[in-house]
Amino acid sequence: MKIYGFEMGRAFRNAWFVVSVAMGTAIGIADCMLCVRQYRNIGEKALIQTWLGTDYQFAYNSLFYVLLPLIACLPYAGSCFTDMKSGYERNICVKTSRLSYMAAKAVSVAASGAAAVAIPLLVNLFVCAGLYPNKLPDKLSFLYAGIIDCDMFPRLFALHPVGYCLVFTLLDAVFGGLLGLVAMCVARWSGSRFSTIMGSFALYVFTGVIFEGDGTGTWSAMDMVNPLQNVVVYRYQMVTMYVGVCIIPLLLIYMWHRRRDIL
Amino acid sequence: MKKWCIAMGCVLCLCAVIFWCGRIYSVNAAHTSEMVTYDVGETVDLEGIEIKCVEAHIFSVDEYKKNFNVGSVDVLYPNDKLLCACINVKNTGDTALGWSDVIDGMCQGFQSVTWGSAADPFATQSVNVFTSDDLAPGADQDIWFTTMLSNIAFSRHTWEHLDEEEFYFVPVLEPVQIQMKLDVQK
Repeated sequence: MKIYGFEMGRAFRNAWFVVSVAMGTAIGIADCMLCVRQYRNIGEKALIQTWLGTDYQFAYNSLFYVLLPLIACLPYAGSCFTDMKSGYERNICVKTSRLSYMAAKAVSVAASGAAAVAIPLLVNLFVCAGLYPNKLPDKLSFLYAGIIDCDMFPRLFALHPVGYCLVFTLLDAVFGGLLGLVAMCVARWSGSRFSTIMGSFALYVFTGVIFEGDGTGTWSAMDMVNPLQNVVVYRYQMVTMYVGVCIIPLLLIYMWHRRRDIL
Repeated sequence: MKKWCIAMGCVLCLCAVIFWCGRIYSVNAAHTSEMVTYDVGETVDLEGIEIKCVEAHIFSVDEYKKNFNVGSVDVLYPNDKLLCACINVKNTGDTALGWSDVIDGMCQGFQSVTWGSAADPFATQSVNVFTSDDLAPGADQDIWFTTMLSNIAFSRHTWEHLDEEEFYFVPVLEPVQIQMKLDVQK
């Protein structure tokens, strides 16, 4: 169990984690500042209109959700490659089993990715909550994110907007963690730390564009994780995507590291 | 020294968080609900006019054509439906009101908890018959309003159980939104 604590410590106590969280938080704060500059009267707006996840007025929502894989993978996913190249894992695997090391690595990569995604969204929610009241969205003024019955969690959005924000923060955090696992897979074929991180980013953006579909039911992960729900997503699609993105990388990581000669 | 700086930083952050929590509380405490809901059959007083829902229906396209004796209906898909409400409007003021002012002042649209749609004033143009140029003081008139219920706007479950949904007619959005619950007849 010591290896888990050790890897977690490495994942969370490194400069890249701080950089990643700072980058996401900066996007959120910039969005918030732009809202405040445009709408000085706090009565005009509601929290659900200004939260980074559901603010469709400015480009920061798109920016955050396009950069999501970078924010998730920057903290620790690249360490899979650097540990291999530097010989670090050889020293570790003298003291613990290869499987324990990889499991600890996967858990810490996923946890740091999830935290790096969740923290900026939660900080932005916290800051916006102190500026704008938690009003219920008004469907007929068409000034809110268009979450209606055909979308996911419409009742939560209409009756408990903060609950909607928290549910999507959780979903995004889980997805951030899964993207870290994808980057761990990519580490096998990549030639540098940079390409390890960029691999999942490229996969996310390309599949996001290709699988967007015709607007009724999408397989694009990029659209699924965005709380704005610009494209209709069916629940089974989201569950399938999460299960797929969880199982496939884990299987590949296991198959690769099972027989890899570390020592 | 380093530990002291870290401790001071933590204390400052904690103070900032506590201050912001207080701000969140005050921002939300100052905010009051901006929606008034009227139950089925209740009369709504809107500064000079009184409105009351007489009847409401969800019609299929064929039912709508048959009921209102109209030739064509503007819908996205053939299996879409139409939500119609007959609203009785009474002029309680001293001056006659033009029909445009009456309709502008009493119809924003329809909504349920998870859906909303503006009323289409042109859809019922041939259905509503006005015998005078304006609504005289003390006079009243039944006016039909309608909107499209498109199946792509609803989940499959909701679409199959539309009769269980609660729909509201919204006469006013600002400054306080008013919604009138509709007794939709099956």
